Amino acid sequence: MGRKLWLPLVLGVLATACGGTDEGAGDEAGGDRQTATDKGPLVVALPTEPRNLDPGSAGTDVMPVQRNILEPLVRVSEDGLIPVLATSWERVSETEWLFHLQEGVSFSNGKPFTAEAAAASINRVLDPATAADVLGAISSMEASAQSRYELLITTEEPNPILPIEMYLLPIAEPASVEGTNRARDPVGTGPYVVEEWRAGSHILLSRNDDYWGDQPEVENVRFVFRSASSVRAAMVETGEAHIAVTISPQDVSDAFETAKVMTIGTPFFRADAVCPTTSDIRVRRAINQALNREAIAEQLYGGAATPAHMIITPIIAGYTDEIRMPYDPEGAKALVAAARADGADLSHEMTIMIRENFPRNSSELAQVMQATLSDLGIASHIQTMGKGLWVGHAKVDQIPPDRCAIILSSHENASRDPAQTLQIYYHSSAAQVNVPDEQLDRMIEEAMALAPGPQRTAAMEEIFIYAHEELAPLIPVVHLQAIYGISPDIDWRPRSDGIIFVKDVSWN
Amino acid sequence: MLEFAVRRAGQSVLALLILLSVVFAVSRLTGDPANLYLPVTAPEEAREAFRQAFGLNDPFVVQFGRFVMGLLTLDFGESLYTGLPALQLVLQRLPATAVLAGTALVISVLVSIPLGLAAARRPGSLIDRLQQLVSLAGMSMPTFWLAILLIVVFAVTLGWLPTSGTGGWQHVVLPALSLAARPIGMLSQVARSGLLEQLKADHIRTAISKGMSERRVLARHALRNSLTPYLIVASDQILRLLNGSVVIEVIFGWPGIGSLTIEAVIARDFPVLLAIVFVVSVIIVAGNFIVDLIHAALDPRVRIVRA
Repeated sequence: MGRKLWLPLVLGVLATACGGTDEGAGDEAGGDRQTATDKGPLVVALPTEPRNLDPGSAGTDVMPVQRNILEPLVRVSEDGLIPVLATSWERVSETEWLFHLQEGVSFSNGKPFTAEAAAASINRVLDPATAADVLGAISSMEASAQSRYELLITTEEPNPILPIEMYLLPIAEPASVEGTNRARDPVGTGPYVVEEWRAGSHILLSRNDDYWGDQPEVENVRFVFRSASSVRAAMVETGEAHIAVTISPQDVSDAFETAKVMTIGTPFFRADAVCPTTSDIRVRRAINQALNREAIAEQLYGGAATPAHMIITPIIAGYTDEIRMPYDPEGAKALVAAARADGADLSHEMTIMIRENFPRNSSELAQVMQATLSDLGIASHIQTMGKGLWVGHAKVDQIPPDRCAIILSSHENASRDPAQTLQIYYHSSAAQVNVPDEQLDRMIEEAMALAPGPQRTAAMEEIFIYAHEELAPLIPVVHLQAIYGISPDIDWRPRSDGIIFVKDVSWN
Repeated sequence: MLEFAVRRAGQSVLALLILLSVVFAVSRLTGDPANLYLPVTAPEEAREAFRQAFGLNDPFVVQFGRFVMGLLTLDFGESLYTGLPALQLVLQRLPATAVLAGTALVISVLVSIPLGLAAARRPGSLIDRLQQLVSLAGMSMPTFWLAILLIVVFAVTLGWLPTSGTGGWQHVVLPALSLAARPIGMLSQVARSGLLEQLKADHIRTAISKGMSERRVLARHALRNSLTPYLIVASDQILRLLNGSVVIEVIFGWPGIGSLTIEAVIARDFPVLLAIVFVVSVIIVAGNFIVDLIHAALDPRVRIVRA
């Protein structure tokens, strides 16, 4: 081979490796594009693959897919409770609720939907042996069939908000979901059925042609999993996907539509009250005042967040404008000075405990907290850990007496009622309470017994105001918003709980 | 040669056993899987039931014993996450990674050898400088960044290729190119320096002075000898492809072992994690073994010294 032959050869190889293949792919990729807009399957790009589709699983990874297959008795929506598989319900005694079920509904495998099936599905999720993850969010109850279409729920304690909790208990055909909480192919009454699940690649749902409700417009939907926000956005931009779930502000483009929606996620800090540094309420209040929530929302979250004054979102009963957390660094310093003058010992170094990248930007939030504390003359260091270790610190029956931790957590309440919030973060019996208070406990117990309505809402507001003024247990940061990339080919709006009801999607 | 092979095989199995034991022990130190699997709000009964169901309450020795027994029958248990048999889950994902890594390997070899040789033939020339640039860029560019760059250019801007996912052959191109960048950089450099060294050697000079044609000198004398270092580095790069595929698979939503690894690590899905370590180390150990044999076959000195 002569000298001069080398160069063309190399270039030739390079061309085959890059140019040649690219050219060939052009037509194919172009073809793909057409099918995407050609009312083929609806493609939804999710950040994570669902663990499973078990009716006992909740969470943002599972619910967007699961709730198209399984339906609950009652759906929580902007306008209150909407009957789904139950047509109506009534409280027959302090601890008993009777649900009248939709008649003539079948599971997608042809078996009839009856009170007996519903009871079996609900009781399985409530059995601790199932290890269902919704268990913590619902109260103790037992379901039994009164007749073919009457389901009786008996609760351990009087529970006036039981119908709201039923939203967390979608019904699956009992034989399809036996054993621990890991069902991958649950059979439900919903508008879609699992057609194919290729682990790591996609889940394909197809329309349930025997669906009891209105037939949805979308025939098939493919959920794909892409962890990088920029790739999800690119997929909508190129027409490969119709919905990109939660994209970063920097990935927003003019090439597709976006919708911003307030999520149920509210990051917050909790400072140990057993620690001498933060045992003084003035110090906890000072941290609240010194935290620049506007800057966090704008700078850290690129505007996809709003300052939070409470850990519950404005759509939850009990949210009140009376609780405000104005940014006042000077006032905060004065509070700390006053505490010091009274002999408060602020020399103990705080440990800011965070979970790796949860909530979003957790390490940046920790740095902001560290700077905020430093401005107040409080020393701190950051400890980052995986979820397993973090839970071990965040959820303790008894906070160790010498601990000085500020723990970053995130609150997610999908129910529109603060019962869950109060049980987890305010009542002293909970494992995540730093400032136990008997009066607060009493107020919570009384309010929980009230039926939903103005009286309950007022009682809830009072609880939060009392806690804010007398205890200052928590440091809410921001209410996170989610940005969805949406193809112009479809008509659809995101929901704050992150569920994607494919039957609500229509083609343009 | 046989004795050499048997001895190497024995060493490999021992290394594998030690590795798996260490991973088993370490994976038990990183937090309670019940805390990871269940949400923060889950009550203690649910956690207890979960630990009970997966034998996480048993003493460490019992768990280890069960693991070793399972290992003998290639049974790693069920995935905590999905309930599927762990090994099956891993083996299902293996072909996707093999396709990706194989394509990347073919691209690397096809690009690096001609590029390296062309550069070595004319040191200081344009092609030589091009090779240096490609090599430096390939080795130093962060893989995820290159991947996103390729997506932006070829999928979003030009629209020639799909952004991600699986399907036809065109889905392989971008992830394989991203994955091949590093080995191309490394291997073209090795090919260049290997040939440069050979071209300076006495027997080449002799061959040229005899009047042998340049092509014959290159093909029969220089190339073959310069292949040994290339092969060693290439085998190392093949194993690194498995590594690199973690990042690439996650970005491109490629359903291979790499993305499964990330899922299993995040979820602390111990059975799957151990099955992955087992499968990957078998591949690595077997790969090293084969390379050693080839190396020994190519270079008799290896057989004598090592045996």
